[in-house]
Amino acid sequence: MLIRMNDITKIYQTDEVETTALNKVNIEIKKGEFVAVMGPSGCGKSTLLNIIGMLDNPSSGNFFFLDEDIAGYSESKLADIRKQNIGFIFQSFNLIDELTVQENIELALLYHSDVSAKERRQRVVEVMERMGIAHRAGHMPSQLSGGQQQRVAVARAVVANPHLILADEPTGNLDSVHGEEVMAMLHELNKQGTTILMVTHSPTHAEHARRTINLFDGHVVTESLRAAE
Amino acid sequence: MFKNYLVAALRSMARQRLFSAINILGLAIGLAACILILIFIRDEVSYDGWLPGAENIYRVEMMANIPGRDRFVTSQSMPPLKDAFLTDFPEAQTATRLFYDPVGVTAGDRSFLDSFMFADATLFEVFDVPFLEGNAATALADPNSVVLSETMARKYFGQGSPLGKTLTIVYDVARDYRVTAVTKDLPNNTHFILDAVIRINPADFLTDEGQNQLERWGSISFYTYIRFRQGTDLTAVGERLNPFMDRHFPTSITDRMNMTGSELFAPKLVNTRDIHLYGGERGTIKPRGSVATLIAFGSIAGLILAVACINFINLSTARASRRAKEVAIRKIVGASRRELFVQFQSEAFLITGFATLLALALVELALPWYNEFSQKLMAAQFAGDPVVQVGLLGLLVVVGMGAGAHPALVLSAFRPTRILGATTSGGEGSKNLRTVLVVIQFAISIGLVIATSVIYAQTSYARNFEPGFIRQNMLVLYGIRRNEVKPVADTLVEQLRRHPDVLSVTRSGVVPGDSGWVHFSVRRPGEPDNQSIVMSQLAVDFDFFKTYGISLIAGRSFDPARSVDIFQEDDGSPQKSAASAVINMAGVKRLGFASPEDALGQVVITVGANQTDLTIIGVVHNAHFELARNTAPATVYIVERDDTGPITVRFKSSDLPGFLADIDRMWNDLVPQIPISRVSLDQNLTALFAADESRGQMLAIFAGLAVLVGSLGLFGLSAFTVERRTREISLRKVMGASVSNIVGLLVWQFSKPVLIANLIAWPVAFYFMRDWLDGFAFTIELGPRYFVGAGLAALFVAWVTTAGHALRVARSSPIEALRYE
Repeated sequence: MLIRMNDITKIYQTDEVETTALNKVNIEIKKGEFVAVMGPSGCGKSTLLNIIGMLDNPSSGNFFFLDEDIAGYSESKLADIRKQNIGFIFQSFNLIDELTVQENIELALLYHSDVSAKERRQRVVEVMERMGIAHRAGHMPSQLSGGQQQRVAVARAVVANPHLILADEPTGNLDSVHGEEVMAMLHELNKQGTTILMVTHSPTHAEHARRTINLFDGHVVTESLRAAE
Repeated sequence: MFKNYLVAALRSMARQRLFSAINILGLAIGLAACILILIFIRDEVSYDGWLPGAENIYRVEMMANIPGRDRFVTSQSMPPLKDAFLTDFPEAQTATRLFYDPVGVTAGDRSFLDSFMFADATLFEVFDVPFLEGNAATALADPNSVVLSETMARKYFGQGSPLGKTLTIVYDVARDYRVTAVTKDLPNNTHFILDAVIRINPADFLTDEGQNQLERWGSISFYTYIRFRQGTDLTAVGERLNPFMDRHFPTSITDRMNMTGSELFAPKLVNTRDIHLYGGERGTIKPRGSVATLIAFGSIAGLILAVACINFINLSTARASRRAKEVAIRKIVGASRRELFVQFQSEAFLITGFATLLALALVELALPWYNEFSQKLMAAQFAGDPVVQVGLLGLLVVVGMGAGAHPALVLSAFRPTRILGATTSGGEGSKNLRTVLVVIQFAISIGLVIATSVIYAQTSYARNFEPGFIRQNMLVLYGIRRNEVKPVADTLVEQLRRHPDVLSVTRSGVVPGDSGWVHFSVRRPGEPDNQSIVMSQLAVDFDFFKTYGISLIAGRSFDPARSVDIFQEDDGSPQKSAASAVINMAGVKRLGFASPEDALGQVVITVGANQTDLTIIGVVHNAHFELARNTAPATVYIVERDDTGPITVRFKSSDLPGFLADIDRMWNDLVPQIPISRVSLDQNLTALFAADESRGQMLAIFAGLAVLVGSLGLFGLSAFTVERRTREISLRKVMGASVSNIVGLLVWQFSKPVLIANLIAWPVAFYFMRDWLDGFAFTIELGPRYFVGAGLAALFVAWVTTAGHALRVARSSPIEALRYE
């Protein structure tokens, strides 16, 4: 089991308002699954992703990653688990404006002390070729189209060979053609064995997933399974 | 990894050009100012360190405690002290006396008037200075040998070796001297001057009466240097100094004061390396340094750096939101907080590095000007000096940490979820800190501006002080006491008087602005010698008060028709001599008379071997011969022709160069063998404040730099704030706010910190400046205008730097900003 969440609750607190973003959520994700998360704005999708990505801590409940309860892990230990296992893709691409395409992708390997500089460069070139952006290696993000930027982001997410890719509305800022392209890439990655958890508003894109979790007001309301193709 | 940091840093700097420029420029100016100050301090503390064996060389100074006068320490001592010291202290290996006096020099057919050092033959046993030609052992072996520095050798003989050549040197009498050695020019950071040296000739110190002045303990006129044997216990020596003085100092002087020799003059040993900063304040060879000045300048360096670091911190944390996305992404791909801290700290070091390079270039550019200004020669010590290099590295680390640590902590602490998820950006939490730091910056700037204006006002007040005598249009001629001039002095005075532009001519023992004041003890009749009072004594001629415009309060001035007005030294006849005297108001007070009128006709008796009854015939207003520096001492004026020297000429002239040419011609006709030495009295007085003035100007410049660096930061910060509030401002405009409303709103935001800064700066500046003013006898009033003025100036700077941004954004169309959002 890759992910097991038991009664995960997340409450955001400001001075006057208390907002429950997740309310006793129980989710299990196996290795190699492709899961879509759907729901209206504010239902807790992004919070769920952030907790799974270990960018945020739950207020209560247990979260097991690879059967390890990560509660109480230090920030640096979590950063370590994250960089070994998880890749992120965002709606707004989130590339660093000051770095080139190649350098942005390289970033994902930069904090891996076990990867030598030579190997790093090699893997970045490979993944750029796979994603069809090798000819853009020296360009800055601002010189690329949205679709190209998202390919760079996907390349960055996969270059470290993570077990899990968390995609937060990866097609949200793309037109349908580029959106389909990105979905095809994710599909391909999943076929090669990478677990994918994707938040999306698009029912069409959700169909790429084997399983869809519907969230509403912080609760899991339905889970639907699709038969294998 | 570091390459990636470097690339990200460089590109982010290039992207935010204005802010990078402000950061680098601000730090560079701050660092340059700091380096200049550190070079100055380094130079000041390095005096005489180059001198071999300096640790064993000490100067004997005297802590004088003369009744009726403030205590002071003089760097000079008595002529017979050296031999007595060598006899009494076996720890002393060798010793030398020296003093400086102007002499007439003839080299071939050219004449000069130069200051020479007179020293004992042992001079070079004490001071192991480097020789170009000749050597220490033989340099002063012969009484008629002269040693020249390379510069002086070139001056007298041009190129080529001067060894064996002859100089005719006139000091009382003309003698021929043979050049026996040439020394290297001494480094600027040496407390003494070694231009030209001849030996002290005992024949020059015999008075007409056959007394040997070199044996007089009552005269403090020589510098005495002792070289102790290696490993001497100076504490033990120090304990024996006072008994030594008591043993040797003549009781004929001490008895009448009811003091012991060491109570009157306590000897003190000052190591050569300490002389420049800690030596006696009176009679110094070169202007003395001051630890207080070093502390003041060191603090200013620190303050300027603080201002520059604050710029960096404020701009970095304010702009942090711009880097927030990068932080989030790096964290998401697995960067730890420590790694991010290292990244941003390295960036700070990178920027500090750039700033340091720029600062070094600025320093290099400023050095020639700076040297001239501080009257130093520091360029040579700067580049290759390992101390400077280490200091520079230390500075870089301190500034890099000081400026970079806080922003790096803030940036590395960003939580990725907040940045990538929500629209709110980071950096808001540092806003309060930024305001506090801006307040500190302004407090520093305001404080420095107050200090500068007070120092400037006081210096200019002291310089233009109404001293109670005429100082404008006064010309002083020196060298009158020289043997060649003495016989024609009266003729010269007569000729000067006849010049149509000359209003009045007088001769006096010394002129205002000079040292060399004579003191003597007097007592009232019927009082014992040991109740005597020390007063300054000034020998003048009959026209002194008229020429200097010093007015009488009571009685009369000296009258050439009355022979009793002329002071005659006791010639040994059984009759007591008598003379008339004029005293000043300070004298009236000191002698205990109720009023000036009470003093008239009273008699005071000079104490000592030669007793003279002085009848007070007049009382004059106090004349402040040291301007505002000290209160006028109790002074007795007497007419004693033999003791008068310089001629003072009061003139009215519409053609000054023509007038001066006339005077020069007059002199050359009478004494062609010696060049004229003349100076305007006002210059002579202003020279007293030269050091103060140059310090004041240095302070003004560094204060100006602090303000500049601070306003650079404020400029950047206001640009950022305005940019951040663009949407708010647009909304206000939509709601009907006018341009002036908006500008007022933004300008007020930056006026508040300035106003608060005043509350901090005023009391601190008041405390320090009052303390500083306490060192002067006459001071300006530390009124509110300096404080209010500095506050207003700071407010003005804040307005000018922020109003531009405010106006721009206030004028822009609100639709643009709102659509952009």
